[in-house]
Amino acid sequence: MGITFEQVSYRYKERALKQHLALDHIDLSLKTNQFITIVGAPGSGKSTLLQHLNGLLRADHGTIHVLDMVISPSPAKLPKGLNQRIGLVFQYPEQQLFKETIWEDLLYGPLNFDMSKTEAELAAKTAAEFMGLDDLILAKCPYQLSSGQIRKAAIAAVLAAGPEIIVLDEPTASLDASSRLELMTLLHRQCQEQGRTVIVVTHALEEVAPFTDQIIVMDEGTIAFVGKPHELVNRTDLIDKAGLQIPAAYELYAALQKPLRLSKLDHYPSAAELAAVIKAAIS
Amino acid sequence: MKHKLMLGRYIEGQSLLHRLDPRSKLAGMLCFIAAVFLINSYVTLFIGLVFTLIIIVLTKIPLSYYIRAIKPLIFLIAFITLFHIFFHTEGARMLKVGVFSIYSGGLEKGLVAAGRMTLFIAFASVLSFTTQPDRIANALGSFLRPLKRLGVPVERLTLMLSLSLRFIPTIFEEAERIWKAQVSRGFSLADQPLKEKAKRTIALLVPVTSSAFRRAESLADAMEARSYRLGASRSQYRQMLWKRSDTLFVLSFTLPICLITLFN
Repeated sequence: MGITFEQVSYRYKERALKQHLALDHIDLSLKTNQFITIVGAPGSGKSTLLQHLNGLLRADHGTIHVLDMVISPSPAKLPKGLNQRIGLVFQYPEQQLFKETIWEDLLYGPLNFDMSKTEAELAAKTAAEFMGLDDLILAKCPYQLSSGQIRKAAIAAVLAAGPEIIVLDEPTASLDASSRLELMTLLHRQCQEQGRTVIVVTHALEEVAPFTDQIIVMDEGTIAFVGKPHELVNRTDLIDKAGLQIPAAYELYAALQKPLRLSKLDHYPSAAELAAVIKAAIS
Repeated sequence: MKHKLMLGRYIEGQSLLHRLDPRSKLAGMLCFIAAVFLINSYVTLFIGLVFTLIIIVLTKIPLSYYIRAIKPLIFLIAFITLFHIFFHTEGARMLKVGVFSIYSGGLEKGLVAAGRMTLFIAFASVLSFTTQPDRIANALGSFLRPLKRLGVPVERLTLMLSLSLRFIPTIFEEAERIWKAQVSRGFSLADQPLKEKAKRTIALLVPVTSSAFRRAESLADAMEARSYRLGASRSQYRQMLWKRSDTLFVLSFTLPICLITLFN
């Protein structure tokens, strides 16, 4: 079971009369139980691609296989349980919380998916604990929270429904550096401990690189690259076009590789790893 | 969601209508309202319809967009039509349904009323599809300027209008995002009884409204922070320019007005 896009095309109909293809005959095959990152310049089709995964947007052409479900172009019916099995966290978390309290918001998904009250409460509690939301926060109205807390609540609200795949559109935007790292670590744990597939759209390669199993670069509605994050290093054309920045630790490593006779790396090193390597090389 | 909310949207394009001065479109709209009010028979309705279709073709926007703009109001149109059909007793009796009788006069009045409303919405859509909201507000401001001497707070009104028009698409987009967030978490209107549908739609309206209020507040702060003052003299980035095509456009409305008056 995995995620497969077969010749998927999509065009926004209402924004202007002549629109280019937002997704242009996409062919893509991804394994589940992985941490997948999607990058690309604004307007390259990342968010559009994500919204096809749970049927919010329906392809004009092509078929999408997600887990054991098949999403065909409209008017074919969406597979049952699609929204529950694929959870989507949108770019603007403050617009995803619409109940009076965070607790009620966490219960919204599970109750919609026909869980009993006790099951829903247990699911909401587990999700809240995982995201580090205490009872004080759960009793608050979404507008009383900080942006980091809102983001965590929005993710917990999606996790509460128990999705097998969790898709997040720019989850770290407007967060400070330590909250970014904390969030990415939590998401990575979802992948490692719960066996969930995590798909993240981001602009910051640095923050996802240590966790990412597979990276996808999108360009003008097409897939420009699929591979391991470090394989992207030499594709400066793609890096520039997608507005990405190579992690500073890797750049330093690359600069020191020849003078210190360091071996080639097959991943982006963390600052601590880099420090250890340099220390070993000069001692 | 977007498919349901077409009225009030601007659609990018390069047609003749898109290029006209917003003032001429607004003046044309006023003439058109006059023409639509004069319509009271099948023949005059037909004239109005032909004229509207010509304008629609000139916008180079597919007819399906207009149909989508009319769709949300279809129940209101149907209600008005049925009201006329069942409660007007002019003309010959055509049919008897239970305690109600349908008369030819009532049928004509009902269909004409429905037609008038449809034409009106279609034409309002022409204006909004081809004119950016702030330009409509500017045009209105320029029309209302003489009233300033009478003590009417024209600038305040124009600002209010331009901000409300400016936020139509934003609020739609926000409504769409909230809608999508709800749908992703199992919200569905399909297969629900009418009462539940109404309840669930309100669940969408509450966050949209509260978010609109918060947005209004931060906008007011942002404007104040950049020294916006009512009544202060300020220049405009986009100058309005009245051309010959604008005069011709407004004059063209005399044709349906004359024809409709003639055939009444």
